[in-house]
Amino acid sequence: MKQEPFSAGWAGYMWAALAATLGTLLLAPWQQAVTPAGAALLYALAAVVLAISYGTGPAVLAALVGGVAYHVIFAADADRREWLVPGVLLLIALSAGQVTTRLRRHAELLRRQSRERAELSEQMRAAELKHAAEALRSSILAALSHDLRTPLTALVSQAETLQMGRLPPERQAALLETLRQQALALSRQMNNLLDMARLASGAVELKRAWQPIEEIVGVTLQQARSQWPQRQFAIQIAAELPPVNIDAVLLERALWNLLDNAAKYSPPDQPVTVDVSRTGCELLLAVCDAGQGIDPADAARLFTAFQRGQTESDIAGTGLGLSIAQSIARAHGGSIEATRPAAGGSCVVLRLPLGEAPACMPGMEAG
Amino acid sequence: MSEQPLILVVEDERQIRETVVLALECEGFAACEAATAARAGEQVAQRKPDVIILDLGLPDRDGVDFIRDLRAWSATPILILSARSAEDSKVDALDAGADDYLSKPFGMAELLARVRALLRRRPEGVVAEAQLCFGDFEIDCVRRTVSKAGMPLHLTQIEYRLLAYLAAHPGRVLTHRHLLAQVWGGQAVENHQYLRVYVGHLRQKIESNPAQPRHILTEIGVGYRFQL
Repeated sequence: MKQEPFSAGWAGYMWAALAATLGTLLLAPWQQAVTPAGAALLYALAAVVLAISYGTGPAVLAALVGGVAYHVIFAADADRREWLVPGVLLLIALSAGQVTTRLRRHAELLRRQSRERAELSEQMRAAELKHAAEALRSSILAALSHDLRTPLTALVSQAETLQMGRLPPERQAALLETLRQQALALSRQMNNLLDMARLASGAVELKRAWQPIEEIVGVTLQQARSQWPQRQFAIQIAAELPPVNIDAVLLERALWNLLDNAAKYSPPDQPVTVDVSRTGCELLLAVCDAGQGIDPADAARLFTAFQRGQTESDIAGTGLGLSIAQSIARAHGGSIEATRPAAGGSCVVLRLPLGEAPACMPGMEAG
Repeated sequence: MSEQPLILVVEDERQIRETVVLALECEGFAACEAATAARAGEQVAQRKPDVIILDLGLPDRDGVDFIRDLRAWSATPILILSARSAEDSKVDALDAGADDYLSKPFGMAELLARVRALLRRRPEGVVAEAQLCFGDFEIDCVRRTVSKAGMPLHLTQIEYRLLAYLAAHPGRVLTHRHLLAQVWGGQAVENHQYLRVYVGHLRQKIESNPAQPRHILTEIGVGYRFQL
């Protein structure tokens, strides 16, 4: 435990005795040079300093020693009125001691109060966090039970309908296709959940390499085209883009999620465009669609896990896509934002910092 | 022995294994199955399948180790099935000697197409054709020249070697490490940057739209696949 100077006990008295005695012994040889008033003031100063440092007791002791020394040494040849000075010294020591005692108590009280307040706010923050975690957990459960159970229920009933074997062949084929699509959609959602869990747990280690962004955009678009053959995907890639230092697998997921989102939330006959460009030291990947657009007020919320534009909607999804894309962008030191272009629709822009690509090693074509 | 190619399905999930076997049999293949690596080893030795479909998440052994051991004595083409959560092991498996991979959940049509491609594959060690053709390109492996629609195409030494190697292994996933070892030599296997630069150059020369390649396809995070 920290020892308060106030309760210093014997140390205070020792310092008081030492200071008063030493001071007197030092001053005594200069008896002629020092006026009695000056000596009295010096003793008063010592008493006040001791009061501040050690409290009333040591201050009184110093005043007593000082008073006696004054009376004996400095005021030896004056009249008896000089007993006034030791009295005043004693009074100064007592009142200085009182004042410092009161100040210390007050300071102590304030300290205790602020400590209590800090503890209280700490408890409140912990409670708030716990509440937020609870809320997230229940929203996850709600999202999962709705978004995974609905298609699962549909799958089971579709399979049983087929099992009964009373459907004409063409209806059968159509139902099988629906069943397949449903199962694929479910597995995409499972992938997202898995990705989110891994990203959130911090288990993902970036495997960065310098590579052309065109390659990743090209492959992802190819997948998107085979996923939504009816949909038109347009691509604009600025010429002469420098290579980027990225984890290709993760960036492909981020881009895929943006395309998936754009395809899900915009009319199927409208194109989805991917625009890759460069501004200053950033690479911009913009995925735009002709959907109803993202309200700027909602934009930030959309990047939170399990948040969806429309909370109740018939479009399957768990609201993880944008959140995953954001986690991936941030892991690369980049960012993501939703914008509302003047021409309508909505754009999600992924920004990646462009570093300094290493020069190609010399002698590459030596072979 | 029957004329039907025999496919070994190694998968511990009974439902997936049975579905894959069913699909293979519907396609006219003969199929045998194994639920563990130990059983798979026995099946390969006894029945000598033409293609092995291998799930990487087996209960008794690491799939990558299994491939490494198998490659010591068998060149049977291997198609691996990988779960999303085990992406790193997919690259390891290809480096260890697997020929192709499919991520779960996979489409059955895709699986059958890959199996057919592996069956068409020339066994290693057989002398390759002196001429390789794809699109309107022709590679003359003896004179080491490439021509497009009869017109000679200028390629550097490394570009030629890379293209010839890719074209000699169509439909097969070739990892970054594998290509670097084959084209540049063993000491270059970590320099993926070399490979990216040269694939970029090659695409500029042989693809009509280098951003949407038709022949040299990227397998993100894994390597490249050549398509005839």
